[in-house]
Amino acid sequence: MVELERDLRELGPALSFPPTPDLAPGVRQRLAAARPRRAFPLRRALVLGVAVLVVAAGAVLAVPQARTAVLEWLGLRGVTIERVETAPAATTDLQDAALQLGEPVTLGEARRRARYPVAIPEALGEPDAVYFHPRAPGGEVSFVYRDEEGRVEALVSQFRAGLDDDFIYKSANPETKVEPVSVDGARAWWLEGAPHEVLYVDESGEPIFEETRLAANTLLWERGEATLRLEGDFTKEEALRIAESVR
Amino acid sequence: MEGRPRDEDSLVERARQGDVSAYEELVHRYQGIAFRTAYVVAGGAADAEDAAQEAFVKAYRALGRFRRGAPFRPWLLQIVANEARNRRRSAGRRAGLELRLAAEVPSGGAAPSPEASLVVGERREELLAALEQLREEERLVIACRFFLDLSEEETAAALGVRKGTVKSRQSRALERLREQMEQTRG
Repeated sequence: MVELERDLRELGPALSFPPTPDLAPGVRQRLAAARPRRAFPLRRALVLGVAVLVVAAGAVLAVPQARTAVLEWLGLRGVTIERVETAPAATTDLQDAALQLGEPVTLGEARRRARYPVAIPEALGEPDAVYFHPRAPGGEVSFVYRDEEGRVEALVSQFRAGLDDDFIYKSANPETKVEPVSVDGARAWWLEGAPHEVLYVDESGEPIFEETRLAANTLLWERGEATLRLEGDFTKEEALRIAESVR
Repeated sequence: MEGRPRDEDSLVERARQGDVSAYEELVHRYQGIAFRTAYVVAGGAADAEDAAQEAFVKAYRALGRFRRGAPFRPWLLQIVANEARNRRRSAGRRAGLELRLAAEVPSGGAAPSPEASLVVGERREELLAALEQLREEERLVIACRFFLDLSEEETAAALGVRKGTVKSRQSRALERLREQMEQTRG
């Protein structure tokens, strides 16, 4: 084995790699073309109220099929993927306060403040609580649904993600199954099987790790200008049914 | 793996503040490894160039998210590899990396005898043929670790897997290569 490793190492320099082109001129040109956007990209993003979500990623990218699926996700408006070395475990039973969803509001108030039409998943009935947070594009509206014992059973979040500047990084840890699906003909993604993590970016551009989201299956889909996220202990079929009940 | 140049942090910090010339210095420093990594992942020179350039542009724009003091190279290579994968996918290329021996095989130290070169050459051809038999994911790990000389961490970042996965794939790949080589020799 040692011999084999040595042979492999010696093979490297003997391989013909194409010569490296000088990339600097092209990079410089592209950066110059984008000059007005360059100085404080993140600060600008925050002025726009853009949230950056990061959910930890991993070996799901290794499986070619899953990798393709994950990369296709890049096509979901406003959503891109970033890999994170490790995905810390998320807790499952959470109180609203720990979810950091913003300030409690009425549905009417959420509708007034959000700069997009707020969607309601009818299959879940009346939300037990409505929250508004200005961190996301157009404001993030979250609906919390509880079980009989008061534990959070489902969480539906929505925000506007339409500009190129909107960065939403979401990825899945190695055990997560990622599957492209569709909701009312719109592109959607189903993440199953492992906790996800969400990160937002603070004013200085540093990511804040949010350990407090529901660590359950997640459905992410587009609806008009908005991107919606359903988190909860649902099967894919249940989640799709809920998503399709949105009015 | 070699240590990090001491001025890297300050170059990154200056680039972060909008100093394009500092960033160009980083581009010069890392374009070789970025291009070769993209080549390994994308499987073609044109795509590799495109992916590496795009990755440098994206990395610049994302510098605000770069964790201060962290090594720049793995972070960059992760973006490079993402771009490269994206291109390979849109090109519909299934088999990625095609490995070829350079016409002129560099030799370390004294020139070997013609017989010795022949043996080395044959052994390399065998090794390449064995590599072709590996699964793509294993071949990529071998390429990153042995041909690009990436660290385990960088390989993990480049391939979008965890370090443990790199370790296990590498040992599986080596095992298969060894078997393959033994078979070839009868």
